[in-house]
Amino acid sequence: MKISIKIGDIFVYAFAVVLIIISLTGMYLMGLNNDKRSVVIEVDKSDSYSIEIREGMEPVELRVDAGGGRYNTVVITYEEVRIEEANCPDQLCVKTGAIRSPGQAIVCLPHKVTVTITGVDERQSDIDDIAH
Amino acid sequence: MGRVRDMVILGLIISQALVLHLLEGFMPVLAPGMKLGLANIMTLVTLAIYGFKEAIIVVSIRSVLGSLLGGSVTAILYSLAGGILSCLVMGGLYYKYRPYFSIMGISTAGAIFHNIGQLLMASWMFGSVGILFSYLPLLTVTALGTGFFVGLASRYMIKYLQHRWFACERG
Repeated sequence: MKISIKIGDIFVYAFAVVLIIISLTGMYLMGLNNDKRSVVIEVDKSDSYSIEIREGMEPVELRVDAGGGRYNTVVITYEEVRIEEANCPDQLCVKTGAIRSPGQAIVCLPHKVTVTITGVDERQSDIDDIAH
Repeated sequence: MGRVRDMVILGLIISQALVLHLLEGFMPVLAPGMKLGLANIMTLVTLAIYGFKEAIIVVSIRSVLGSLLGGSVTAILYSLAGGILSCLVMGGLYYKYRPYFSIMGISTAGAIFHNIGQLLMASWMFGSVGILFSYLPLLTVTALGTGFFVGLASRYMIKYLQHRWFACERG
């Protein structure tokens, strides 16, 4: 039995090559902005601010006013987010330290302030493990 | 050909596809999702000696049972998405454009679309198109090789079955 390549087969291979080129281009374009994290700060579940984290951004220091002279100072850099200072009684938010990945959060219960990182950081994705 | 005989033969085909599917699970893989696609032989054989509807049935049952027996429950969704998309493409090529394609070409197209189906399902589940783009190049290159050999194997099997087994009924 001889192996014959027909005209349609060439289309299949051409299609495969086009597919590879398209996905490599797509991968390159996605690779340029695969870090889409942002910080969401909520006060008493109602007031919320959102700040995007970008590479090479200047460190941001925010004074979050929780009302009645209560405040938390949030420092946001490209690497990490932390509460630098607060005048809450338990100081748990300051002791939480720095958070880095999407899903992590710092909570200050006395002031009802939450600082959460949302979005995706595909540089350290664990999708392979789940899908496999 | 009687209904009971059809059912028995389809049952045999499904069990063979299942065994191939499970055997493949024991093989080491270089990258997640990279497989030989041996079970595709049975899909192609069903397409050739039965028809489109039967091939869809074989693929669906094989995907569900194969994932339950050999993998996780979430694997059902990937397996079904890939299997059905590849079966649709192969069925379309086989019944509409048969003169222009060899079995190897049809099988390769099926392998490529199996990957596309699985990756589309994965992108949808994780809500990220990045998965599609980052896996597709490697998987497509693999599909070119595995698709060709799966097609070759199917060709021998189809020839044999059509000559020896169905000769008296189908002519």
